Amino acid sequence: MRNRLKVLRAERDWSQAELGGRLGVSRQAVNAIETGKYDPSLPLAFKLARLFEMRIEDIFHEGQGTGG
Amino acid sequence: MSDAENVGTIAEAQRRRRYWTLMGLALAASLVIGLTGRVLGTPHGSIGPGAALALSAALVLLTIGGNWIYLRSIDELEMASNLVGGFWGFYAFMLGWPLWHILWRGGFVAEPDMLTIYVGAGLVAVAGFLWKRFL
Repeated sequence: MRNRLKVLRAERDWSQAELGGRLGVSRQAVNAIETGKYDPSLPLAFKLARLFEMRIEDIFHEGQGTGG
Repeated sequence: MSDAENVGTIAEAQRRRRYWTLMGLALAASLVIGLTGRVLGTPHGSIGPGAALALSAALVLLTIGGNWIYLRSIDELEMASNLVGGFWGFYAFMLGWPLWHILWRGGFVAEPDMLTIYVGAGLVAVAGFLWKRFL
């Protein structure tokens, strides 16, 4: 799963720890999602979408790795 | 950066502190059980029936209670890592003994040693956890 998490986080000048704390997950979890090593659960994806005020499909795309 | 802007970093630091406190308590409890067993034991390794029952009860309660608290305090990446580690450890244990037993009966290796299999399965579980969590 590709995602725009790193870009969205950078736009808000948030560290991985800051985003993790706002989501209730660890910094390592944010890093694993950003690098495409871990796909978040649906509840966490909804949390992310709410936090960034976007739709899930605007953050996550099909495919391998990050970016997109 | 103000506290309002820093709210996630503060929450993450608190979560990390809780996590490592829990890890420290689990390690301390394991050490207490291990040392108590050693102190109460004879030079031949046996312990009294009362002490054996008390230590067994403490081990069961601390393992179940500790895991219940631990699983409520971790995030979904750590839960997924635990599942992978548990899966690897389970198969290491379920395959370890029969394989060793068959090879022993074939005369290839020494008689199976349950403690070695137990520790080995634990190490495989830790390897699986670390692989999922950090690689």
